[in-house]
Amino acid sequence: MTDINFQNIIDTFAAQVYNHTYRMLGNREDAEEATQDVFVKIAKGLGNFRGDAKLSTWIWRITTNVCLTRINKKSVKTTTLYDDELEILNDVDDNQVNPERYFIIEEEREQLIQFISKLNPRESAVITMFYFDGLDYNEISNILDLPKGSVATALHRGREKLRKLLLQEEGKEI
Amino acid sequence: MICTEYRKQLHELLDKKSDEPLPTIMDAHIKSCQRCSDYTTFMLSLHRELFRVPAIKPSVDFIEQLKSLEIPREPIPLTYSWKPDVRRAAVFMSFAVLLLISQLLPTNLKIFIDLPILTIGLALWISTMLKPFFFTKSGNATAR
Repeated sequence: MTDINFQNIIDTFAAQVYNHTYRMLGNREDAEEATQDVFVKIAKGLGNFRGDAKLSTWIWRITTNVCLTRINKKSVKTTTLYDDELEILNDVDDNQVNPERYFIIEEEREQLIQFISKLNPRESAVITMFYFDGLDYNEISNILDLPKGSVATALHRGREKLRKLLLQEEGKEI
Repeated sequence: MICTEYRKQLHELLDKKSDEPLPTIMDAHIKSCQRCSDYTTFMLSLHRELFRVPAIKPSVDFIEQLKSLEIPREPIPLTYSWKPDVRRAAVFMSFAVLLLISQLLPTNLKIFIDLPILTIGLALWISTMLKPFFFTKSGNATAR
């Protein structure tokens, strides 16, 4: 804990924080603004950081909160997909598409990334932390201050929505 | 095994991030259910692809910009100045001097002087210690 200083934190975490914000917010401009907000908060709070939690947990918590705040502020303008809208996607017929055909083309991968930022904020945060930040249930539960069961539910629902969105996209192409 | 139960268990397996083969009971289900078999293929593919998504790196310029960030620190209260601290220190010193002088007095007089001095001194010390919790945060001064 003796080597915590702002410059070291930027060197260690800037790329990860940026990647996380990009995945959650879906574009470079928002990701840069959010990353900047995160580091301003870190710099301001560093003096009060008591080491009760791991430094990385504290940073992820700030990062996720900044993203969630931005998503909530912009929720009217963006096309976040909420549960009621998922119902519409239930009409997609699984049998219409070849499940192995996905993720071959770079474009489709990009589409997948865009879909993640369209999930509801909690699901988007959990998917991002689980797959891109390499965090486990315990860490995610700690960062989001949620029971493990809720983390699991968000993860399952997030994956399910991604599946439906991808199938719907494929359906359009057929 | 019904499809909803199968799918729930599949998600739980994916959550473990392990490459374990499907348990026999689940394997038996997908052999008899084409929809769940397709679902599994799709989900495994999605799961693998999500891990494969490359990290997006910020530009070098952006990192440099972060490093030179002008950090707005906590506002420095406008009412803050070094004068109250010096005044407080002077009061403490005068109490200490009074205590020293009182040592020269006879014992029966000493108690009447020492007790109030110690009480007021203690009250001042406590208020100083609690100062950070009550200190005004008004003001808009910032510092790098």
